[in-house]
Amino acid sequence: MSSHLRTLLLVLAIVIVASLVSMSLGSHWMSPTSLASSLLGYGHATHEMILWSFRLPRVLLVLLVGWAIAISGVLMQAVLRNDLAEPGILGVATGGNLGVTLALILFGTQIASPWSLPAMSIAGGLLAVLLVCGLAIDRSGIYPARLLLTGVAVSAALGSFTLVLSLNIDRQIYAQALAWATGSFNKADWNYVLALAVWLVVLMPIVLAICPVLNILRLRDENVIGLGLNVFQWRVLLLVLAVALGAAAMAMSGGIVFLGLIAPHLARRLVGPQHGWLIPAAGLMGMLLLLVADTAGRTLFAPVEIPAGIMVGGVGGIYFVYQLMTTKG
Amino acid sequence: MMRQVASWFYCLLFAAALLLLMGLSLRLGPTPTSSWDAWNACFAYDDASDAQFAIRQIRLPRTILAAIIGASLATSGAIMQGVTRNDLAGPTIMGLSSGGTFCLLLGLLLLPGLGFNQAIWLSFLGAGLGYFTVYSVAFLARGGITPVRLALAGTVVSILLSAFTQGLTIYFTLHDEMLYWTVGGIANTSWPQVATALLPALPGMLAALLLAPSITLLSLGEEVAGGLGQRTQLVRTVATLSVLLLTGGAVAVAGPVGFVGVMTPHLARYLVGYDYRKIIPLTALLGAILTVAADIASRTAIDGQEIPLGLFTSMIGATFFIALARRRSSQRGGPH
Repeated sequence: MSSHLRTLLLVLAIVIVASLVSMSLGSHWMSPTSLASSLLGYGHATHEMILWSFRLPRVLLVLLVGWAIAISGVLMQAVLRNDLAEPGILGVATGGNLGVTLALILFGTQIASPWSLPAMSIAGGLLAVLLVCGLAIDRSGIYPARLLLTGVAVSAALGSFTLVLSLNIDRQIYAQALAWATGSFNKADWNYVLALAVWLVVLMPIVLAICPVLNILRLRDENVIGLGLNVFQWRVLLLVLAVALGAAAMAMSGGIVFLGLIAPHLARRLVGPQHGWLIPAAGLMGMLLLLVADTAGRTLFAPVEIPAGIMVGGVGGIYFVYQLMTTKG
Repeated sequence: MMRQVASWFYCLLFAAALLLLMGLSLRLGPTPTSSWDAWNACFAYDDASDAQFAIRQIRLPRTILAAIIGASLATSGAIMQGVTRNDLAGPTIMGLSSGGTFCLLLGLLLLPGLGFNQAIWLSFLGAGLGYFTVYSVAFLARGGITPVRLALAGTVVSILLSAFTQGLTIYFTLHDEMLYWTVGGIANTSWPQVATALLPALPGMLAALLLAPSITLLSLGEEVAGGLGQRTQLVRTVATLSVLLLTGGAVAVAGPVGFVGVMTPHLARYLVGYDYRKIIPLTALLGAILTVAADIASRTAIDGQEIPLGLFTSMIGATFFIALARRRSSQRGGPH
């Protein structure tokens, strides 16, 4: 058994243990035995209800979102050849939020479902990311720093625009739109889990199929073209894929910044830069980080719940500062 | 000599534009008024008249406050850009606004009966804290301070501080109190607020004007300024104090009003060149024009609804900022 595989299995085991711990924590503590019996279907009726209608879907949704955002980060970093790229900063969150708000204004709340929201969010997120990349590109390529600054500025502008739009809409619609913006999982139910799982089942095989291309894309352009690849087409395809993953996830959770940056970084330390290993490792790290953030956010400060997005933002910001200080350039 | 005349001309032109705009701002609002009412409200006030009352007690303080905020933020941006030699510097980018908001929140938590005067002190403290953090992150980075890295550090520190602010806001359910500070609004301004805002703005502006020649030298580079006999450390210290006075005051009164400080110094430089004796007064005027216009828009864009001031400046300013980031990093060839 290779050492990378062993690492992955170890992380997977940690994720499973963390999920179980998270499921037993809450306003109503469940002992390991009652958790096990409730999961298997012969526990206390109240416990089963709490577990199956609230905690289990929530934990699963967190895991799926963490996985999708982390892998979206890996793809973006590969495509833009920039280790500071990540969906939250490049405008996926604010763009997605704008998409959702616009759709709610235009068509009313009845179209909002776990199935339609990702589509609106993806449309908005895609628009924002293309805008950011388009503005940051010139003939000589994309400068990492410019890309990030452009992302921040576009996010500020889109955020303002969304706020202006939402000030003038129906209060009820506004409350619904706002729920997507804060990055929280307190509305998680099985429909969301199922919807995101379906997206991932469609997208993940494509991602895994193009792993070899990702490894090549990190080389210099001349070499890639020498290998007979159409660099531009691949980049666009991968970027669309990255946004689809990130925006679908954020449609379920709201804006989560920095997760797509940290998870790939940690994963690279564990398994190195080859994407065949990096992608699952980053996905698992994303799951673990978001799960810890969400569990801490809902238990440490109970009865108040701090959205997972804010918890990740706080810790992630410190990590980003550290990266900025230690990476060259 | 030609240049000198031209810059005076610009100052006069924009001062006139500012006055006109402020006059317009007095006229617009739900209570119908005539220009005569506006004139009387300023110079021959009669509190029996509804129109005059609305102008004198609601629109006039608000208009003046908008102008003070714009002038303060713009001037502080101009000083920062001159001293750090960084085109992308400004109160929003360098962590001053988010730092100020963060400390205001702490103040709301720790001092329940937080008054306007304490708020201003906290806001200075926070602005200083944010600026210091950003600067030390960029300073400690491997390879030292570059303009783009400074901007990047500022961005991240701002995101970080806002995450803390949001988290605490949610934990202590202070949404209503914080909404006022975080979106940048000057609705419901009254005269005492104008007075409190002027208190730090006046010495800040004065310091900025006195410093102007030294900033011109400093913007040529540390070696040049030092070689010409300038005490650069002293200038930097006074400049930082002036920036804190100007930004701290504005943030305390209006919350973070985005991007005004980054944008306007560039317009001024475009018009009058690189002499900060001309740039600073012109920047102040342009900043005031910008915020008064944004304030008018924020009151009238949607009928019967107030859009916070900061939203307009963010939308315009962000566009401008992107153009700058493009130019800046292609000139420098980018850090990678």
